[in-house]
Amino acid sequence: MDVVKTTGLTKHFKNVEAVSDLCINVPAGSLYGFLGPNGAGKTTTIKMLTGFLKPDAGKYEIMGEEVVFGDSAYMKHIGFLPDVPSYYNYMSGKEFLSMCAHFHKADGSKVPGIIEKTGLGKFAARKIGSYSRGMKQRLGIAQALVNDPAILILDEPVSALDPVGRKEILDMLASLKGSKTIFFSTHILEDVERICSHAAIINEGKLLLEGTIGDIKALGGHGRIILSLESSADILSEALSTAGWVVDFSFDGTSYVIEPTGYEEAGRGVPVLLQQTGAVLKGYEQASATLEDIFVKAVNNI
Amino acid sequence: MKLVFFKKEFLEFFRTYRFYVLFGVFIFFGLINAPTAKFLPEILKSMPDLGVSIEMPEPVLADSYVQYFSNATNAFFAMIIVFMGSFSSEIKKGTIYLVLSKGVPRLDFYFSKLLNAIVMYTAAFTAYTAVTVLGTIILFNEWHFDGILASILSIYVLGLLLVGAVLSASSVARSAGPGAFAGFGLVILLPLTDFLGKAAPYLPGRLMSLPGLIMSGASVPGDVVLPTLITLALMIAVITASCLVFYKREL
Repeated sequence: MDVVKTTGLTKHFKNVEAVSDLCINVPAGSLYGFLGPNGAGKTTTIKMLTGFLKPDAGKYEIMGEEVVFGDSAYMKHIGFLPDVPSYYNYMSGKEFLSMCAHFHKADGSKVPGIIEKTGLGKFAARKIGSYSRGMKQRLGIAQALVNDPAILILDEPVSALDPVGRKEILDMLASLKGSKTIFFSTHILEDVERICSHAAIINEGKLLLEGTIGDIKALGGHGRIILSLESSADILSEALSTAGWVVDFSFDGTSYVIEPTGYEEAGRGVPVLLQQTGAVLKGYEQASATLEDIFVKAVNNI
Repeated sequence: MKLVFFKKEFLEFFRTYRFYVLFGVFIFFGLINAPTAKFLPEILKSMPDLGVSIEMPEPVLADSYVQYFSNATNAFFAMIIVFMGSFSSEIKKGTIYLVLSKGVPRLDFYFSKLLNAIVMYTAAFTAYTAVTVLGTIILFNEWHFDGILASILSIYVLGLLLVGAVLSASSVARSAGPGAFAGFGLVILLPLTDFLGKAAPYLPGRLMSLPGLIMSGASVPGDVVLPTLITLALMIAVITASCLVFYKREL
């Protein structure tokens, strides 16, 4: 079952089409990375899904039910963290979470457990105004969990954190895998590759790719091979440009990065190439296509 | 509607010190009303001779209430400042996203803020009135004049209109400016409606001048009914309109 499903979702701001005919399907239990460069339409999409913006066209379903703008009942299924969460700084973290539970008519006795789970610990009694950015992000995830939602929608949950904070939050999200459907937007490919089961790539408001991480990576073909030679001279470029098994290549002064039609073809082609040119091989490495390769290709329409 | 957001609004008013600002200003003006009426003539008499002869009549009970009705407008300015960012600050800061994403209906959010503002204003106005009456009793040994309740009611309703207008403007804006504009604009424009010929006795602006007219005997307490009802109807219309906009607005 797809717990979030959009069909033809479209949103304009004056003459700018922020989101265009977006169709995505988020399967239950998935950790879904919503990828795109800055300004791609990620936050606009999330604001439509959470009822803050009204779509100009298209529709969306949450837990199988179509949502009408202005209706708030479906929010019981959702835990939401905006890109820059703001709090009532005069409250303590614990007090804020209890208030959120009250809003949701949820069981407030679960708040201490959520505090532990999100690592707020001793900070929970302190005023939110004294929190670091990382602690505020933890509190953001804690408040999103307070009603035990089926779906977590997180807008750039780690983009403003340092590497340590980022790792901690990602580990926390990964630990929820399976128990919740997590839909999170990001422009950090590494994070999606690390923890997500599914992803979508959008750019300029349009969906470019969607699927499991495996399916998306498969679109990147057979990856690349990296050849380093004993000589630093560029002696292979001419031969590579005419070789039938080479899709693309680059030379950075020390090694060649070659995108082959396949590893088997490359395995046969490289020795022939070396024999033709007299080059002496120092290293041969195969590298799978990364999400970054695919992302860059998709965004640049390659 | 259960107004689940009201408790947060109510407590926030105390914890962000807005309660102390609002009550401080109202009580301050309440405290100075009777003494100003009582001692202003003596203060003026004791000033150095500026070559101008000022004849001041002996202070009477009515002078204390003249101060009361006049200073209420000054206290309203503080009230406008306290309430002008009620909605817009939540929208600008982004705290509204976390609240509404918890399933709090927009109407609950709206009416919790409105109810809290009305409760706080009513309490502050009551304190202002009580302190003035107490000061009047102490300094003038009496407190009552014919039509006092109608006069107080007219000023109270005027304040209610301001609360409604300021919050309504704030709910459809992204900054505190429109709330301030609506509040200060009304305070400035309402007295001008008293010059609108035959319609003037029924318009909200009449509520500002009625206390003076009642004290002078030019109006009777019953004259407060129609402008009060019209003002309340206007307030409800403004609130309904802004509520509909807030319900449908994008955030």
